[in-house]
Amino acid sequence: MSERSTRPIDRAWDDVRLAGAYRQMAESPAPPDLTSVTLTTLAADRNSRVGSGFAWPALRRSRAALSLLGLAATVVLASGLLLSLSSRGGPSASPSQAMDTQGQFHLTFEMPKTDWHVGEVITGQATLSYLGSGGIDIGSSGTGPIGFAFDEVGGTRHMGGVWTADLVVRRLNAGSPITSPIRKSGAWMGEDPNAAFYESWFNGHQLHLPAGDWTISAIGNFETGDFTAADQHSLRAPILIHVTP
Amino acid sequence: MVIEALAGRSLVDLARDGDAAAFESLIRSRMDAMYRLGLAILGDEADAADAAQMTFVAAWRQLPRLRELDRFDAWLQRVAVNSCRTVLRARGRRRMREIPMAQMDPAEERALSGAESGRPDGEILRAAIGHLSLDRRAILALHHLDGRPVTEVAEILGIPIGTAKSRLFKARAELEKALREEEAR
Repeated sequence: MSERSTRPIDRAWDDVRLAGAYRQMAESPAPPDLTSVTLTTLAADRNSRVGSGFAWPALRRSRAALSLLGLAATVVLASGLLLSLSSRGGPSASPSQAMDTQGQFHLTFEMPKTDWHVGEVITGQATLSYLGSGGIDIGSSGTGPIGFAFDEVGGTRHMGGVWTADLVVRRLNAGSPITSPIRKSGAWMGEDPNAAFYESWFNGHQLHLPAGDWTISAIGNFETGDFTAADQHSLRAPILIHVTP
Repeated sequence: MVIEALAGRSLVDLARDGDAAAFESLIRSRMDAMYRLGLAILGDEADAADAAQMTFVAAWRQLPRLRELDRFDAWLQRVAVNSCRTVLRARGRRRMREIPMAQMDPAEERALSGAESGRPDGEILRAAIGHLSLDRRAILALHHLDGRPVTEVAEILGIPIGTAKSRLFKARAELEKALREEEAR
């Protein structure tokens, strides 16, 4: 009995124990090369701040400090992040494009511009292509393999990125990509302070966004192979837009 | 403290005006904190690294629009939470596939393996938060990781204090249930 009473299972998860568990779980410092990788990414992303790109001297210092292994990791991580997380350039009146490639699959997201006005219908189109030869069966939600997420930068409103649970198998042939215009999807809880906004936002098929900075991401989610033990594919191509009042 | 605060504000001010060296200093001084926050929310080292990197890329882009410079850290943490959301959403489907369709009864599993629950608390917590939504994870991590008061957590998340309290209460209840289940495995 006394042995049982000392087992962790019998101890309550009070604030002290929980804080200790959090410290234990997140006690590690960041990987040594993460700062260098981030600086490299910022340098490559220098067009993202109109009129003031990230200074190249900072990049040169970082690169000099990188070991060969660190550099290899940098290239892999930075290229992955650039492909999957960064739009090409900041808000502008020019067309913008973001891409992500994973294996034989390529997702492109294009918008006619990145500066929009409140009330303007925001448009864009995503294209999912197969880079292999012939074609391949892909399994995805009944709503399709392409979805969109809308995230308020530095804010609390996040919409989209929701797929229905049904599985539909489609053929994706090389040279015959699947395209999808921007469309809305989403779910929220009634207790969410933004619930009223979400309720209103989801009314109607056209896309409008409130003033501010938003990241619109095209997301490709699908499976290939034997669908009982399928390979998951998740591609993401985000574009940063600015909506003015 | 005052000197550090002033120095921090000055760096933010410089970085907002496009001074990359100042922003690099901000990255260096805050990378560990952002990584740890990501780890506490996502429970995965690679995801936490992705989220931390994304946080600073987004922060660099958006910094010119930050009006209240003395709220930089709260703002940065909100950006970090949003980055975690993006990472989690991108990983969501893969993670869901990893959950076994049929799980053995925990008591039966223990009896068969002969093992007692001797896992470190951090490991139990890491497994338990996997059952929670991003919003729940974020508010718990912000409150318990560094002992931030609810008022500060509310500011970071951009929600009223009452809402923060309510969310924290619900999140804590959900986490305790998940912790007990994980502990019993």
